[in-house]
Amino acid sequence: MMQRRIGLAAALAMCVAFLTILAISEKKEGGQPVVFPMQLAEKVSVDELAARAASSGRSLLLPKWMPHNYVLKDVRLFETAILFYSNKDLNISTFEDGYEANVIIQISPSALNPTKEQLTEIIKATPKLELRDVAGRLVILCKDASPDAWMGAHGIQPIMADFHSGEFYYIITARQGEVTPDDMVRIIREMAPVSSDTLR
Amino acid sequence: MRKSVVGPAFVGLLCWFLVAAAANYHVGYGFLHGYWGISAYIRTINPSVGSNCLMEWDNICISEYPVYWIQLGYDKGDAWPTRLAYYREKNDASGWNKHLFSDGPAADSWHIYQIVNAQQSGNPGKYRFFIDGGDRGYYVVWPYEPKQLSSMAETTSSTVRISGTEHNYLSYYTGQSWTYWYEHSSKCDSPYWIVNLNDYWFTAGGGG
Repeated sequence: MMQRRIGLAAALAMCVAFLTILAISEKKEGGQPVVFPMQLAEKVSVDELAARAASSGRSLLLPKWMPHNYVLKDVRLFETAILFYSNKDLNISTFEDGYEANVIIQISPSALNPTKEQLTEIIKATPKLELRDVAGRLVILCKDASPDAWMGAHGIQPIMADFHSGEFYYIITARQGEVTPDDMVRIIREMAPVSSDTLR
Repeated sequence: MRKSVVGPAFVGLLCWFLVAAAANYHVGYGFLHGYWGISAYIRTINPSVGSNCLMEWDNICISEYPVYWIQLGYDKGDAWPTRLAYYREKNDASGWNKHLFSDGPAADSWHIYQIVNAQQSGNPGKYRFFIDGGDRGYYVVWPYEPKQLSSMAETTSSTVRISGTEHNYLSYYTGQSWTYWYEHSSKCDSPYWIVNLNDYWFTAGGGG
């Protein structure tokens, strides 16, 4: 009886292993090609980031609210700024360390200001996306974005949103189950120019 | 007692296998600026790959977390173990897709691989693909703004020899014209090697 149970458990484990390998190897060919070179990225404070944005005539928006008391833990800058929010300590020295954050915001300079019609064209081609108006910002929301290889291997399903404002392009990524679509909308609704009210 | 050893050993072996299965090898250049197009002149190599894969490509990264991208290049070992095939690929919020073309480059030939955003189409998420100027279709992706560019050789095993790899005239699209990269960050996973000839030209080799 015991041997049979062990045999069943081993067979189940092999099935899980096989399916996991299958999922990873599908992405492997053509591979996860590039990662943000964390060692080349500058670690900056939120005030430095805001000052640099202001020096180029741009106004940076940051969240005033996050679920679960997430606060800003780290900011890395190359051309794209990456902001890491969490309610636990983060020690980010490699790209993979960044995945430990609960919410990640990517901010990059952008000359685009897409119209509702243009964004609708994207929605038409990608049915899992939703276009919403959040406090006058045209937001694309994806409640169940596809995980990348690292997230897939760690059982993380991302929820994402993007929008343009003030010549910046924002992408917000969080973990499904920890952050709801309503949370995501509230994060965006309460984003404001950097001040003592914005999270830091 | 026996059970307590076999269980962890099995789990350890499984973890090692999963990590080993996930590791690809990359050699090439990154250009850490978000331009709306990339062009690379890539020499074709044709090594024996066995049950492994070789890909040589250029790439636009559209998100860092998660890592999403658009890619164009040639491949050996994915669909056909002995044939070289052109392909285009994307990984974005809607998932991964790779389209292998029925044709491919000849060994030692050079080809121009270009990916360009088609904003003028009225859809900012649309990226078009060209090989030697010939139209190779498009993907509509989300998110859609470029974060960085890269041009690399990639293998699924260090046993694949990549001698003869050469990528030249690496360029970004300004919206009106193509301009050579003015800086680069190189990536080289052991046991491969890379020679940085300038910001838009490298050769690489090793493995086997």
